[in-house]
Amino acid sequence: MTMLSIRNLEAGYGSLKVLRGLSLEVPRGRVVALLGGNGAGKTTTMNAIAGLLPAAGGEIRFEDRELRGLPSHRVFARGIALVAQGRALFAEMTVRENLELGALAARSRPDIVALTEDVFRRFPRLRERVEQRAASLSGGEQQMLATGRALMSRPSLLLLDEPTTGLAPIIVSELGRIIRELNAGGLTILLVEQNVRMALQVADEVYVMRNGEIVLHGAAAELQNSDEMFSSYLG
Amino acid sequence: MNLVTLLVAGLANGSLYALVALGLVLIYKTHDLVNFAHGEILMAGGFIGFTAYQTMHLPYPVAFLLAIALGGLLGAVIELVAFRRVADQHHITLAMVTVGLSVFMKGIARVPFGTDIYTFPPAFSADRITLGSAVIAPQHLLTIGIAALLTLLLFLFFRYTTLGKQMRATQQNITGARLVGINTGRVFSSTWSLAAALGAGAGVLAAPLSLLYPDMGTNFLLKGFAAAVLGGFESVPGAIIGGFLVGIIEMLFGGYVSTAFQQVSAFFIIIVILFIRPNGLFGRRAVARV
Ligand SMILES: Nc1ncnc2c1ncn2[C@@H]1O[C@H](COP(=O)(O)OP(=O)(O)OP(=O)(O)O)[C@@H](O)[C@H]1O
Ligand SMILES: [Mg+2]
Repeated sequence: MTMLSIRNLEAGYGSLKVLRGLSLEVPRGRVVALLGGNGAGKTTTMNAIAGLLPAAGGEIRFEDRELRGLPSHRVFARGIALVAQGRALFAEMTVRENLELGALAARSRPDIVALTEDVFRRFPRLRERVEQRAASLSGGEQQMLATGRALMSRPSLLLLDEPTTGLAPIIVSELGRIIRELNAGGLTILLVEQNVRMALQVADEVYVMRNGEIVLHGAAAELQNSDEMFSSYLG
Repeated sequence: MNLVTLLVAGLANGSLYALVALGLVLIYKTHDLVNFAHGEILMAGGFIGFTAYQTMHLPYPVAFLLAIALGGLLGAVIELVAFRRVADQHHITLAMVTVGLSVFMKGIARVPFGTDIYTFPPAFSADRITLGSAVIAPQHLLTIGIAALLTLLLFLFFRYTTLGKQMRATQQNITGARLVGINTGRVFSSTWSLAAALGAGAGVLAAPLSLLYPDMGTNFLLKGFAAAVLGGFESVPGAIIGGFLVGIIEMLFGGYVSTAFQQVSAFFIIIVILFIRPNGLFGRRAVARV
């Protein structure tokens, strides 16, 4: 069953049209990867879903209700959490405060202590850094904190925008494992990546976009051995 | 002049500058904007308190709370009417909006109050307290006490309430704030309310010490601005300590050096301090915006 369904989405910045009729579907319980080169429009797509960027046209249906036009806090309230490219942490706040803020506006009154404990179980390094300022964390730790903060609202759909950018290979594979674990726990995930290998390992389905349009869609398993095709699309 | 007398008077003025500086810093941290109409919010608070206390004969605490409440409302209205639609414009544009607002509010105040100067009696007519050779005005103590209480409440608000935490989060990273489901429009509105409520409260406290007239805000804006700059413009404790310093410096200067230059003495000291520490006493980074 489809959880998120995007049809003919149009979005851009002023007179610059980035998305010209993008369509994709995220089935419930799956990990879907959205791949594409620099400037393809991946972040634009994610921000339009999350309500950070108003979409000019098309439909964004989530659990059979329209999202397009809702402000970001209303999208969040429906159970969608975005981990943005660049992470957007509260730099001067501690790890604990960042996590707490992830839960404060959540749908149901959250048990912050239990949720924080849950995040620490998944990301043990964060526990060691709990009273440190977010700005003082390493890149990998910041990505874990941004992901942990998003999990604090118990979302039903998690949007991850290039979580592996700039991370060491060992952290990339750790993150891949965590994404699979989260998915095994019932979370639906839309993952934007440029790291094709990692994305093919964790995703069930893959979309490839270029110049604001989907140019390829298939099951990850079928695309495992099509490196050449990817390099021609991702350029 | 007696040192203790000067220090207490300096602290009283300084607490008012600190309250003004706090309002400026809150708006700056949220919008990267200096609110040049903040002095007029203080003036409005002074006249609201005056009307409630002198004209309507309400008890002083009621007049004070009324000024704070209406000041908060005024802040929310300003945000809604003057800022919400232009919030993504260049910050120079926004600064000009606040300058226009300042002129507008002074104009409005002249309609009922003319260009007269009003005196606001002190909250209670207790005698001056003498401590040895020091003479202390009860109004000064009241001002210091209430300002300290407001500052404490503000600190608790930011530290322990959901809205306070969400306001801090929005100041630090507005995208991050949207990602964690914060209604940033509501945060903007609340920030303006809070800053204006503090300004209006400062106005009621200021009125008996200065005088009450539509242009009274300018001097307080300048001193509050100086206090904020001294504190680094991004720091709440910095704004408070900056306010105390400006108030004390100008009193000591007036008492021991010359009253002719009393009003500008604080600015002189600030120039010297900023020469040594360009980011203010508590600033982390340079203040780059108007
Ligand atoms: N805030 C903005 N204002 C104007 N143009 C923008 C803005 N953000 C992105 N763009 C432009 O929109 C296009 C798509 O950008 P987008 O960020 O969606 O790409 P992306 O696929 O996420 O790329 P990357 O992999 O580099 O993150 C690019 O041409 C980019 O220059
Ligand atoms: Mg991107």
